[in-house]
Amino acid sequence: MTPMTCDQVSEHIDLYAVGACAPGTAEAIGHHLHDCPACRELHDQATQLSDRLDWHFREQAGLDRLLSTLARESRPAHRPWLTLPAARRAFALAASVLVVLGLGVALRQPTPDSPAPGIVAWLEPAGRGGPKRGGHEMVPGVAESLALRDDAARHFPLEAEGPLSLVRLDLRLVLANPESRTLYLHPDDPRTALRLELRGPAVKKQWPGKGALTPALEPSRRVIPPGGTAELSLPWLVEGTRKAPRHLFWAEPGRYELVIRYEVPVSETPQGPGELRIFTSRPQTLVVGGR
Amino acid sequence: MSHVPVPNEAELVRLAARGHADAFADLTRRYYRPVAGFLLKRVGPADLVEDLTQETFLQAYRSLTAGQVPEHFASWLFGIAHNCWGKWARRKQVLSFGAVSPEGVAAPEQQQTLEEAEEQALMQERLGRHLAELPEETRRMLEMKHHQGKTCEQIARELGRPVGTIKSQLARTYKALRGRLGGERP
Repeated sequence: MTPMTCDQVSEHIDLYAVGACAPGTAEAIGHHLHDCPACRELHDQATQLSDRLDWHFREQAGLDRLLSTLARESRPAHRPWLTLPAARRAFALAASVLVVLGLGVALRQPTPDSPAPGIVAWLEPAGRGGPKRGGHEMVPGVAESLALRDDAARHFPLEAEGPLSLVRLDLRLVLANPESRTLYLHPDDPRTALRLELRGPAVKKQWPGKGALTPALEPSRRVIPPGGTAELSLPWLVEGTRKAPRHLFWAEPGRYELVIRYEVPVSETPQGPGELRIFTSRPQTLVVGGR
Repeated sequence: MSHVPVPNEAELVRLAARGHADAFADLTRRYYRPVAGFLLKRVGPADLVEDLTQETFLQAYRSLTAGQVPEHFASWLFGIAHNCWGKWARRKQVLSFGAVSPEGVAAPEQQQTLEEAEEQALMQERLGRHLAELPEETRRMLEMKHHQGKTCEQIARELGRPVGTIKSQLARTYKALRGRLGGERP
């Protein structure tokens, strides 16, 4: 790999920031950035522009969604259990905690005198060979590590130097219903979406062909009995909606940050349409390829 | 904030506190861009910006309807936005394994916050104006890239142009936009 000059980096920095550089170029830029504070500053500016453009194209939709949420908030609710202050507080609590990424997660169940949290959710490794749930206890809402697996079924802990290509997520999203009534998930609802925020040196996005859907977006309704769980596998870095899924992947070695968000309507009746619940993981750092 | 008409604001806040949803919707429309700009500068990814902006306004609405009526709505609202961001940053800090250093979450001065939010909102407006001046095909490329998340190869296929042309056009456009927004290295 030929080292790059600052002028050469400057020429490619915008495409690098949006993950559109050829792999060889991206690798050379990555090495240059490591040692050049001036070009890192330029990279920050290019990333800010990219973020600003992303936001430009979704700003109006975001405002519309917020106004719609506020309108629902201001109306008397039709579901009595959601309008109770305790239930509302519990909803907020659940929304702040909900997804745990981790190996061997043992999420503490609510104690009898704690507010009912609604559905709680976490992620655990789906592949064989990883520690099993319950292997060691951890604080709810705090992840210790995240499993990655390559196509040869080798597992890598969060900060391991996994190979650049072929590494994939190998996780199950587990949704648990600690309440005394049956709850229904509606992934068939068009509001259902899986969002993966993957940020790092070079992130690529591709629209996959049909059949590349992650099970979290499959249009089958799921029933979670009182005290039961529903599991959805997340085998790849696939995000989006059922109609518009896309693959994310890293295109060069380095440190990446991942946030997973699952949006799915949940109701107390089989018919729905259900209240949209958003389960968000805390940001996780992944090191790919080693440096 | 100079671009926000102030005279009716106190009345809107009082109405919102009495449960008039339309009044709070009006306040939301006024402050959505400045609050989002304030958060955009701190968190970056659009999904997170939208989440934290929504959280900010929902908390503000719930506080208002619970009887908390601020003297100065804008400062109060940005205080909530700052807290929402601070919570997010602290969560990030807890789970930053190793070398990722957490961001500081000390509250900035009130006036500084309002000026910064205004600057971010103006920047977003300027970006919108610059985008509107671009040729139709270039705007479409940016929309495909930043709204639809398509790769340059997919954009090239859809527009029937060579990939190299798409990349060159995008690179030129990004550089020009950075320059016009004052982001270029001196």
